[in-house]
Amino acid sequence: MYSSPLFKGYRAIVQRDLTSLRRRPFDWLLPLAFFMLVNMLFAIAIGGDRTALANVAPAIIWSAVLLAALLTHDGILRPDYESGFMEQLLLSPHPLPLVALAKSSVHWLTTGVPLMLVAPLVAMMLGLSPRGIQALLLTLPPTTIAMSLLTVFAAALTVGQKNHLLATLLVLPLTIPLLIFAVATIDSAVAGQSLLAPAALLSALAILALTLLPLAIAGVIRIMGGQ
Amino acid sequence: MTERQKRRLILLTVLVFGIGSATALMLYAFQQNLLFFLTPTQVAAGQAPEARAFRLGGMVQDGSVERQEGIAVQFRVTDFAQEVLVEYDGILPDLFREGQGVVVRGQFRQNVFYADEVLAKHDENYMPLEVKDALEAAKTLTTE
Amino acid sequence: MWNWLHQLASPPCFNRFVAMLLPWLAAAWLTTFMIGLWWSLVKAPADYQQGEGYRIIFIHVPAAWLSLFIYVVMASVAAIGLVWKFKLAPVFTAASAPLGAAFTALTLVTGSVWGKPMWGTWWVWDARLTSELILLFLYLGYIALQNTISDVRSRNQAGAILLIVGVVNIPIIHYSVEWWNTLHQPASIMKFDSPSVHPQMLYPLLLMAISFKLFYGTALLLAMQCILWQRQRGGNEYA
Repeated sequence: MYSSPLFKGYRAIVQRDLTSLRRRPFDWLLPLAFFMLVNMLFAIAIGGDRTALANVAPAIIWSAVLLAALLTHDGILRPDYESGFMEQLLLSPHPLPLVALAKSSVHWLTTGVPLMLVAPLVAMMLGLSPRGIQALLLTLPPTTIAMSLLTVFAAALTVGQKNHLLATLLVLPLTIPLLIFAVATIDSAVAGQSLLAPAALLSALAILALTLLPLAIAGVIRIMGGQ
Repeated sequence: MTERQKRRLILLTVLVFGIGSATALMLYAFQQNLLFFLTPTQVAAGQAPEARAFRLGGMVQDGSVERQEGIAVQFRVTDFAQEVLVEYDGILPDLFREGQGVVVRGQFRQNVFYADEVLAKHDENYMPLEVKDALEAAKTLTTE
Repeated sequence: MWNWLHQLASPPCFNRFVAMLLPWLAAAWLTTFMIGLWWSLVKAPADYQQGEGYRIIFIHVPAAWLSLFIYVVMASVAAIGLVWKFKLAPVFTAASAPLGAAFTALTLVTGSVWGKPMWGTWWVWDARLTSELILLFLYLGYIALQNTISDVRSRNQAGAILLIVGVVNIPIIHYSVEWWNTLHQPASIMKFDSPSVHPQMLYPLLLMAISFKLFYGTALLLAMQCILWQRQRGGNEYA
């Protein structure tokens, strides 16, 4: 199945985008720096109270993850439209939902995965308990996957727009269930309760995003390509 | 099968599988309790987090409300199995009364719950006062 | 049926349709609103627990229903418009969005006014209130998107897809009552077996809900007409 022509296009796009990102390390290092900075701002603003900081650590980390992922939206599709690559894709027989999935995969590999590596470190600096960090590690994959798809959706809707804040208005309301369940998972872990329920809901949301959003993104890509 | 049909089939399979598994996960989650507050029984069982605010929910026990000096007040929150002593220094909401549901937010220290917020949980019944009185009268008649 | 709908979608035919329907709709709204207002504010008895203060539900609850209703209707019309290419579908959604946003804001304000005496706080971050706030941002996002994309066709279609994605959030809003066991009451009208709202209070509530929906219909037709006129004058706004 993997060698079928359907997935050849998917693989080609992922490889192409990863190569171009390897040559521009700034594109994926910047969100990481942003993520660390937001956390640092909160830590400084809250001050020396270690228990207060540990209590709000999940909230800070998750808000920073969502914002850092969304921050990268501008670089995802705009270069492809400007270079004419998107036009080629629209004319090619490759199914657009797979193109959308490829774009989201690249975003996840270059933003989600680095964030997943750095977030536990930041959590430790904020004083989150070991149980909380465990729960954080558990919730990061589904949340970042869903977030990558939402970010590509925002990128598709706002391609060619000068105003970068529009993407946040469009997508942040949709991320709130993710935020609620991600924070709830960590909070119940810290409080010693079972975290199965919020973790299951979080995975359900990630699966839903993974199935439905590529179709929506494909639709928007086609509309914006036909301008 | 033509290429087009094959694609449709793949799309359909993915959709059914994705939505199906998401629904299964959600149903599983609903069976677990996603609680907004802890009950007195849970607090008595030592499930309350230490040095950390949480919410406690239950009924205000009949005859347990004691006014202290100023606006400070003490009452017991019960779930008819266990009870927790609550201290609160602030203005109580209109719907706060004995035998009514209440959600209090605060910290639990040395067997006393120090509330910094008291929220009345109103029930979902709306009826005129006369109907309520009639119902009560009927109830006392049957119990007598 | 489709033919008739497509015909209706042409502006001259739509204008005739509006001219025919509008007076009746407006009259029906005014009548139900007047009766509903009198019934709910004067005739309906006071609540056994909340006293006179509960009367705000006669505004709050219909507005909350309508705010959800408008979004679902917008998303359905957007989906139909996307598939069958109705010319009026984008006009419909563009005209509905500000109305929906206004009713969502009204729900939030009245809910907050009600919450202060009843629960002891202006605002609680519980699931239902938060969902209503999210709904407001969904409306604002759609309106913002409509205002930023310059190409008319892409604006309409991108907006439609955004609405359809957003409507996935509506079940989350609706079932959030069950997800989170909060101090906000469970949805007591939606239980069909035995409504726990006493009939003397339920009937005016339902009448107000109908009246609000009629108002939405009236305002919607006027707003759609405005957009079509603007377009005719060469402004080419929307559609």
